[in-house]
Amino acid sequence: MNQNNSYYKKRNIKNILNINLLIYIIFILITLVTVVPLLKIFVDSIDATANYGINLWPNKPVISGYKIIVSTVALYKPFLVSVYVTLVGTLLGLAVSTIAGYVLMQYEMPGRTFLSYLLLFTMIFHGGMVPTYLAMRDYHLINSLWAIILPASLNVYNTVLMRNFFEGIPNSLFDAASIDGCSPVRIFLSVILPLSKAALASIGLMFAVSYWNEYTNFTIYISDANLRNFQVMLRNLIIEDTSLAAASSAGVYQNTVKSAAIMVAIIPFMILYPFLQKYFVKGINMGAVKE
Amino acid sequence: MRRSLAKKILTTGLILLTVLFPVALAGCGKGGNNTNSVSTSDNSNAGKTENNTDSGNKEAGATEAASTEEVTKPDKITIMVDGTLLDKASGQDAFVARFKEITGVELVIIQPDHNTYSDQVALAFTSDSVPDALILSNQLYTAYATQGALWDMSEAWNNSAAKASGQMKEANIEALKIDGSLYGFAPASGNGCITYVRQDWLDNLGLSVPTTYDQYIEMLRAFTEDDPDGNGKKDTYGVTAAGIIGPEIPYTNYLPEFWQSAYPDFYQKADGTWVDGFRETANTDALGRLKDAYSKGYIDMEVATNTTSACRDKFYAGNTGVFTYWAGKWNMTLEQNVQSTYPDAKLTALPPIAELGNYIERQPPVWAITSASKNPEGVFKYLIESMVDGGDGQMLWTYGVEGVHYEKDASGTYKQLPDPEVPDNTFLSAHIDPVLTTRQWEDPLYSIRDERVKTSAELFQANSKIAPLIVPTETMSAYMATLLDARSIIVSKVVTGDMSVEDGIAQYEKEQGALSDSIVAELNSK
Amino acid sequence: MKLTTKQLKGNSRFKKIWKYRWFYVMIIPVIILSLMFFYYPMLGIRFAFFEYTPFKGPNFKGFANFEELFSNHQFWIAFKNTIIISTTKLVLTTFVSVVVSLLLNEVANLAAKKFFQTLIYLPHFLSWVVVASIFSIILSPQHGFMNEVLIQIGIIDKPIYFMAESGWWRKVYYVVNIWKETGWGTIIFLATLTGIDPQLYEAAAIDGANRWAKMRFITLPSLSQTIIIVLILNLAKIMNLFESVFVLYSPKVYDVADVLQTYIYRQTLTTPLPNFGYTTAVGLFSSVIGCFMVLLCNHTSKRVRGRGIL
Repeated sequence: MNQNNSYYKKRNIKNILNINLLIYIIFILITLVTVVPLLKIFVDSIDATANYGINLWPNKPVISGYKIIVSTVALYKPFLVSVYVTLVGTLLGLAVSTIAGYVLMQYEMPGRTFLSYLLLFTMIFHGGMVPTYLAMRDYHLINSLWAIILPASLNVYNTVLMRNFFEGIPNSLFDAASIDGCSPVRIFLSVILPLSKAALASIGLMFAVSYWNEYTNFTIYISDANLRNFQVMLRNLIIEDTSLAAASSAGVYQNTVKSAAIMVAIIPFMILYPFLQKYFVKGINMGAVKE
Repeated sequence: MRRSLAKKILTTGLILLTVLFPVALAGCGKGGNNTNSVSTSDNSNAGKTENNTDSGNKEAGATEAASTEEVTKPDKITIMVDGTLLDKASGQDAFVARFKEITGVELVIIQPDHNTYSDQVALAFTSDSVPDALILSNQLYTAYATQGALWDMSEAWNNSAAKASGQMKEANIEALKIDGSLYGFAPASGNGCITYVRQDWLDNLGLSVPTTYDQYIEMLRAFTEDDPDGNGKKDTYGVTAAGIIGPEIPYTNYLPEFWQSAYPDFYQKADGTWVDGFRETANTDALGRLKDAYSKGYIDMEVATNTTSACRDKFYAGNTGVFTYWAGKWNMTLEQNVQSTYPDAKLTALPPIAELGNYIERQPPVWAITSASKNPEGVFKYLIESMVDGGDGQMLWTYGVEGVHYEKDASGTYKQLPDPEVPDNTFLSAHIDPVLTTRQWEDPLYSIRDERVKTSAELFQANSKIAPLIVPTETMSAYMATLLDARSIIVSKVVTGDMSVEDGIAQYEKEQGALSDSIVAELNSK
Repeated sequence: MKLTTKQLKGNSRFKKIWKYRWFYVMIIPVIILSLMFFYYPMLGIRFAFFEYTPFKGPNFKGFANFEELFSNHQFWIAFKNTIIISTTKLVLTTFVSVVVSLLLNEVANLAAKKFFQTLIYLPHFLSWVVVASIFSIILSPQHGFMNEVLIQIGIIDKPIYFMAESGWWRKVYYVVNIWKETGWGTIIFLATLTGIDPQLYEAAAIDGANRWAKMRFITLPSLSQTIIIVLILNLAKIMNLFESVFVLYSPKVYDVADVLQTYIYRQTLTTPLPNFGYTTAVGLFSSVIGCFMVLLCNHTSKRVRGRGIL
């Protein structure tokens, strides 16, 4: 990116250095602000007597918080349920939002405006808890994970963003494909999707996070204890008086166990994130244009 | 531009039309069209009528049972229960199997998430998927009973083996009657909060256990100013609580020593008249005491925003020496946790100070049988009575399943086993807290019960009175939330110093006085 | 003559539809999803005009639910707070996200960029309950980090009870929101930035544009469409503010913090016989306001930029 000519470089070198320095200073500040609260959770999760107050080093380091979480059989299944819902939901959500985004891009298509309003209204108007519950009952989806996965896969917000990304793809590529006689489905699969990795990664992550954090719908549609997800358990752990942790054996504060559970809930994304990140940082069009 | 706007309006109209079209159909097509929406609305109507017929039949059913005294055993009983029953991970399947062994009845358990239990109950009734029996909070109990959703079990209770045994705390059951009829049954009492004090702090300062308000305040002062933990730092305060006024009946259980005889809600005086306790001088005095103590720093500065778990952690960390919390097993848990940081710590459960007189026992959650149940007599006999049969059933509902939750060695000594869900903990109870049962029985595990649990539970039982069962009037339930809001805003502003006591009371009079008057009039004319 | 034009027109319309036939086929599953899970339950909106409890109804009551709502004093306080808190929050978090994205885009070192990016996303993964408990500790008047620091450097001499003072609550709320959502907000903007054709920058560099000029004339314009989309789509959700407020407020600050959804929550939680008709009425009221805002902004966007978001 810095292929500036030498004259330009010389004149501005001091200036650029200063700006870079400033940017780094800003980011170090942002980092500190972000990190301190997170560090507090981490430190508390390994501190036997984690209490009210800020300590950036454990008073009495232990791993019993994590041990309680790991030895709690009741958390295994919910964790797997969360993983399943997140995986299936994210794939479905991506399918829906890419297809709908692609169709919404066809400005000349008759009925496109109607379609876009049809979708937009799903975002604004809701039937309310009871009618939605009764509908789910009619579909026999009560106590089924599809009751969680299906409605959330149609996310208009993500669809519109997806369309917005697609519009960034140079027209020349579409034209070339049409001239080659590709059908719209072919263009979608072989031109658009491969060029939208950054978009797929970011929207996919947004779907994944919302499926992972899904809570309300689980409490409404799922009464089968075998189908609860991790967030429901985590919430109980944090809010409930009579939670596992409250009753936990002496020597480990409730706060310690809570913090450990919070860390466990973030871990999947800390693992997943580096895999996605390469798509965020790299430019997408660079490769395509050069081809 | 204009054209695009017109187009938009057109589109909007089109969509609205698509939406409204089936609505219109549903509105007039009760005769039975074949569109999807109509068939569902028909379904739900059918469900409703069925429900009505059931409740219509209920009297006939009850008399029949009384005359024949024959109760058919149900094949299966569907129950809805919150997190107070052991869950799958703790061995619910073994529990169900054991229940079948004892009673011959299959128990089908619907156990929604604990936090949203009342929503799920409402949804179950709205969508006509009503269980045979369910556990209800006191508030839901009175409301549902007056709506005719619950089966009148007075007869069944009068003829029950439990009552005949003479071992029931009958007063606890009688207290649940609404206009003379019983719709719910409490296998355990509601328990309540008792004040715990750091005995080691009292000893350090040479104080004795307070018995009057003056001594109580003196203790708070000393805990705040005299360095009770002897660490040379002024880092402690008297008492912590998760709010100044509780969010539900009995309201005054967080800081009872300050509230004393005040009761900030509608209640019936000894002479039978109803009043709004928030407008009485007892309440004004209580606010004055709270405000004074808060301004001196005796009460946790963050009392207005605390959560209960934050309070517990502050108490464990030795920031504060007084904390009012559940009687019974929490005595042990609190002490163990304090001792993990301060090995010499000791807790004392405080008998109520003279001005307070009694702690308040919460109205218990109850088991109720729904009007929709096909065989309510059978449900009463095989489900509810099994909880208080003084034998195998009570053992199961209290301590769980032998070999899974407890075991008995050759010499006949009992031992409680680790919780299958959290192996570090001992499994304490399946549903009924052993110290709270309403049926006296020869509890085989009584001798191994923790001393601290026993003393605080017994102290509480001896020094508490049960909160009144209030059946709300229509206006009262409609405006309950509004009044609770107004009171909690005023209490928190007055106590933390944003407002004087007089101004607070005046604001209540001005904004809610008329509403309060009309509710009091309604209650008195009942 | 006229007839033939019409015929031609009809013909060309049909041709057009035929041309797009595959798109119609592709969208069918999406339409089915929306009909099943959104439009069919939406029939329930009619209950806004009914009395409907677990045991009663639905009985038609006309506008009674709305009359009850509009006559309530606390409702109007909550409505006002919702609008103020929601829009301020939306504008602030979007603004900060855009600034951070632009800065992040300027970081040349790839490793540093990755590091910052990963880090600022993290707060989003914490649920609101957790965030509230962390901040109540940091902002605690009893040896909370914030108060200790402020006292140490002599800005204040008595600790401030940040979470429970009407004068402070909203400021705290905005800061917490910025902390939690800024990083996440940058995802969309960064993804858009990666889509900018690098040739544009190269061309600008040859023209002698400096860093500032490149940002001003290339980066920002490319972002503007995304910024507008994000703003408008979020307007649709403006009345739904709930959880973040619910975990941070207390009765002491209801006057500045209570929003529509928390008000409704308290109203329904404390009544054992919830009137679903009433809550649907509130929902419908919020939806209409949200819808109005979205259409208005979309229209404005079309007027100003010649292009809406849809």
